[in-house]
Amino acid sequence: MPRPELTHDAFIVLAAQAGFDPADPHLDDLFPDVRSLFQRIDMLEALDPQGAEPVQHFAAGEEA
Amino acid sequence: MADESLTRLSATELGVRIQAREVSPVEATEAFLARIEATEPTLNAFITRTPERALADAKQAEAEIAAGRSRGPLHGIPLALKDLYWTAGIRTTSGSVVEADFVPDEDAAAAARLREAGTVLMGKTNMVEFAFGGTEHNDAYGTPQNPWRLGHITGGSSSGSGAAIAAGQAALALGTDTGGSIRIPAALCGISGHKPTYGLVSRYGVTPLGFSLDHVGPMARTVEDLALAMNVLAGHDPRDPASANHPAEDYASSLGEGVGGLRIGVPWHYVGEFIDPEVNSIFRTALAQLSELGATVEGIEVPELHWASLLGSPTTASDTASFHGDRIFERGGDYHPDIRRRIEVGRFIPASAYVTAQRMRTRYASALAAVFREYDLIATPTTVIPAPRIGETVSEVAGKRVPNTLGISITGRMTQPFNVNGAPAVSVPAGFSQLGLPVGLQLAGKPWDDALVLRAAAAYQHATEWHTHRPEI
Repeated sequence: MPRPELTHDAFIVLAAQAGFDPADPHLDDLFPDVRSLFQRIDMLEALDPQGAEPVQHFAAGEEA
Repeated sequence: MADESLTRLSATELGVRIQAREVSPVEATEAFLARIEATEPTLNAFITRTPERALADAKQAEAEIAAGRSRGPLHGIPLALKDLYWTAGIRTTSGSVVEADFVPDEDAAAAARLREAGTVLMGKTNMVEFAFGGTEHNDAYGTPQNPWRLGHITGGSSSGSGAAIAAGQAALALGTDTGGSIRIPAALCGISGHKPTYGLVSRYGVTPLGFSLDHVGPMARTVEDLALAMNVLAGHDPRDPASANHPAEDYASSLGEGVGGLRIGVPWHYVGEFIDPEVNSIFRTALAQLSELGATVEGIEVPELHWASLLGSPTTASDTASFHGDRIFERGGDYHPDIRRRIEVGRFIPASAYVTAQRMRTRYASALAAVFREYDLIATPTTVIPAPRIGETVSEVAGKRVPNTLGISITGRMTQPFNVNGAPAVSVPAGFSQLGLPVGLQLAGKPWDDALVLRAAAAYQHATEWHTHRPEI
């Protein structure tokens, strides 16, 4: 389900959680990019990954 | 007086003359250094020039060849490295003020292999900051100019490598390619560039952008040059977690076998959505030539190509946000504002979305593998537009105005699809726009079919003369 459009207030909360200083005026420059990102993520999440798994690069290492 | 004509040769041609002792490596290096001196203030292709190192390398090559100890066809060949390849004792900026003082204590694996092959290091080339974009300028080190038409971009992110080869400042260069960063500047600068299969060439000692999308590869005048470089670059390296244990191949030996009998698919539904009419015309002519050479060229439907940006972009943004970590907070003002925001955006991508992108990459790779069971190659134009003007934020493509500032959104539209599945893809010159700007043809194959991709590109190049044109700068 597409998420509601990101509000500036919600963005500031997310930004703080992501490690940004919520008072940093630079966040105003970043807000449109993040809103655009979420629109793209909605498009990504509309794809159906059922039955697909990521390629696994992790290896448990050699036996001791 | 330096012989400027040497700078107009391909690496292969120059290598033959050096091996035959008709030209000495020192003579060749002096010619390229003079060419750099004459063109560099205008082109701004280099961040760091290394003339002393170049002459030392050349003298060593000359002595070795004179003593009968040739290291092979690249011995004495002038080389330029994109400035994100670590070079021992030489600063490696990654195009950023943030890394301005970084002096590695060892060479990147690819740089070391080329050094071992006897190449001559001319310097470190300009690039989009941290390789995160396909079009933009670089405020920190100045914007490279397109040698074919000043005031136009070279394409990126391996922008200086593209300009340097086109202008005869080096005979061979290395770029990196996360969404098209070898092939885009190759196309827009009228040279050849190869993005190898993921895992074929070691990424060790290369500043990362997107861990699972980054590719190391050569840029040069001709496909023959690319194949000679691949013979040196390819090979397993345990220091690169993605390096594959692929058997050694000779990428040059099959270049003359042509395209007769090969099946080439063209995803017109994707190519045709946004394409400049001149590029479209040049691309169609190139397809007709491949057909005349004996290939079967057919339209194909690959709807999954539309996923490429949706899968590649969040992957790159997440990877690079992880790589830069808290440095993006501590030194945010030292990054170019556009690059800073691109990196910061990666911190907002939900983990579930990242995993969905990786799951869909598996499906995407399967879809393309199915295409490659029917077709040997996929052909597209390398870019849908010729080089826009520097600073141009919107391009008109077939009557539609589209932004070209989002890194690779427009310029990388044809190239990113082959990063997402790690497939080999080459760009070769295919013609010029009315403004005199180069246009590239891209040929992509299934993973590990690098030799076939290069062979087909060589066949096209042998039948055309676009790669022989030189800019007048």
